[in-house]
Amino acid sequence: MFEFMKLTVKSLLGRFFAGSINPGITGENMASYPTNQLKSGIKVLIDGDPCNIISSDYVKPGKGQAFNRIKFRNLITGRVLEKTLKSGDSLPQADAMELEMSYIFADDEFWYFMDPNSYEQLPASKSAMGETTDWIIPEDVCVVTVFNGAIISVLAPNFVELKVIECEPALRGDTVSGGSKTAKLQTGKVIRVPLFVYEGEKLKIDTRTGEYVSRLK
Amino acid sequence: MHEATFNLSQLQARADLYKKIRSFFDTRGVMEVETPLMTPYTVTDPHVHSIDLKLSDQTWFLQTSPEYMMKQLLALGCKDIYQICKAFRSDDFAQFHQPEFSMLEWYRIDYDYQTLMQEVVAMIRTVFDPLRVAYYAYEDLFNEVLGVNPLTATCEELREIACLHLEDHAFMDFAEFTLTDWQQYLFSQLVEPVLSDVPCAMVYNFPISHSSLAKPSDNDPRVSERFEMYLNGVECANGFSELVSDEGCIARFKADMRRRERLGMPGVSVDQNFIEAMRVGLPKCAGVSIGLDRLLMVLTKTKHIAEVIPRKFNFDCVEQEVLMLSAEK
Repeated sequence: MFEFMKLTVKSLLGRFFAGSINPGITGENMASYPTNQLKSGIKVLIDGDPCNIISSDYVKPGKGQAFNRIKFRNLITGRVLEKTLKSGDSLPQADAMELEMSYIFADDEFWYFMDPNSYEQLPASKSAMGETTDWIIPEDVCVVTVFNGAIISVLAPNFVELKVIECEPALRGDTVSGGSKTAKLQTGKVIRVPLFVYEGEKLKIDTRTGEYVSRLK
Repeated sequence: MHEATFNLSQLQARADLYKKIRSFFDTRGVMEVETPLMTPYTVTDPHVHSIDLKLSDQTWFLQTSPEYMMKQLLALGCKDIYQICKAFRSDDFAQFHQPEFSMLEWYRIDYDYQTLMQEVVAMIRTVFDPLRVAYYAYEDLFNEVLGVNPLTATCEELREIACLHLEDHAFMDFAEFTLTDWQQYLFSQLVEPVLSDVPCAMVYNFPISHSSLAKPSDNDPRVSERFEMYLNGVECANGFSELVSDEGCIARFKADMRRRERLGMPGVSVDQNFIEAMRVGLPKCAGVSIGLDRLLMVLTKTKHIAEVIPRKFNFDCVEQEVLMLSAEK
């Protein structure tokens, strides 16, 4: 537990001073996690990339060397991979953390996020944003992954509320399109909605599937 | 770490199991024994990690199994014996592992591993029935599942198989892996899962390199007279025809010491009392140990071993029951 707190403090400090140090340089006293501490949520460096441990299975053949099979998500690519380590080996800690930050505004190049506690602002590049740009508007709170002081990924909230800015009126008796039509949201994203949706209405959308959930009054 | 609280049905299941085991051995004239859990020596096996403790400047070890103690009893002239006890290993807490676990171990004079296998099956049949039992020679099973003979394959061939079957999967720092390491790795990762549909699988004739104190086979010097029992793919028992001479044991200990050195592990002193017993000599015999917690997991259809080795008492439930009782009054 104390080990964990120490690491968190270290990561926080790393983050606050991130502007003044060269990201990527981690120093020689880098902490590492032995296999028995690799629990879900721990952030480690694997082949240079920050990764989030999903699970770690201890495997011990009856008469042999023990292993740990770890499943992890690469925080940059989002891919879930597996690796086998010998028990007792260790992985370097990644100076990465997941924070809740509010989206404030975007310019031509970056999307800016603010930590609601420290008011610190960090920019996110287009590649870090990925498809999240389809779903968020200012003041939405997103889970942001910060690695060596820079945002590397942004996860939209599971549900967002967005206004319809363009939508054809429904045609009476149109059953060919399966009772749905397209609508353009205020973020520019086009989704399928039921026929009764009108321009100017606010909709609840599930960002994980990109599907319409309900109308909001 | 998976935490579980005591529940009465689990306690009852364990009590029932132990009762059946004791009655099984009682009718067969096998005597129950008890040996110390704390010993001045530990095992040499580099992959069995013991837990030590200090008492007035002397280091003691919690037994990793009662094998050495029980064999000393055999050398002393004991006939057929069994023991139900705790064993301790410095392993991670995991789905099938706990540092503290219960073991049933027994020895039968004049038995070999074949006859002992039959007795293990008979014992298991008294606790769960009906039971379909499949028998596989290690070499055939490995060959059938992975298409390569484990006794003749090279390190490189086994490594290729690992990479082929575990796509999207990386191995870290496996350069110094020996043939034995690869055999064990592939067997546990790719062969054992195939056994998960088999209620009871007896696998026998393991390679001589991982045979601990099992007697080499008379017919094939590459394998030893050792078997393991898998219940639904989970290793639950390990037994063998015993090496009965001290030369055989000393040679195995020396091999262990060399492996420890290669792995950069600290040396351990060989159990002198055990060597002494082996000098006196064991009668021809076979012995087996069964992981009772894993057996209980199968019997109670439990997914995690912590559920059968609970470490917590949940008194909140008791309070609620008491409150409900007083409310009824």
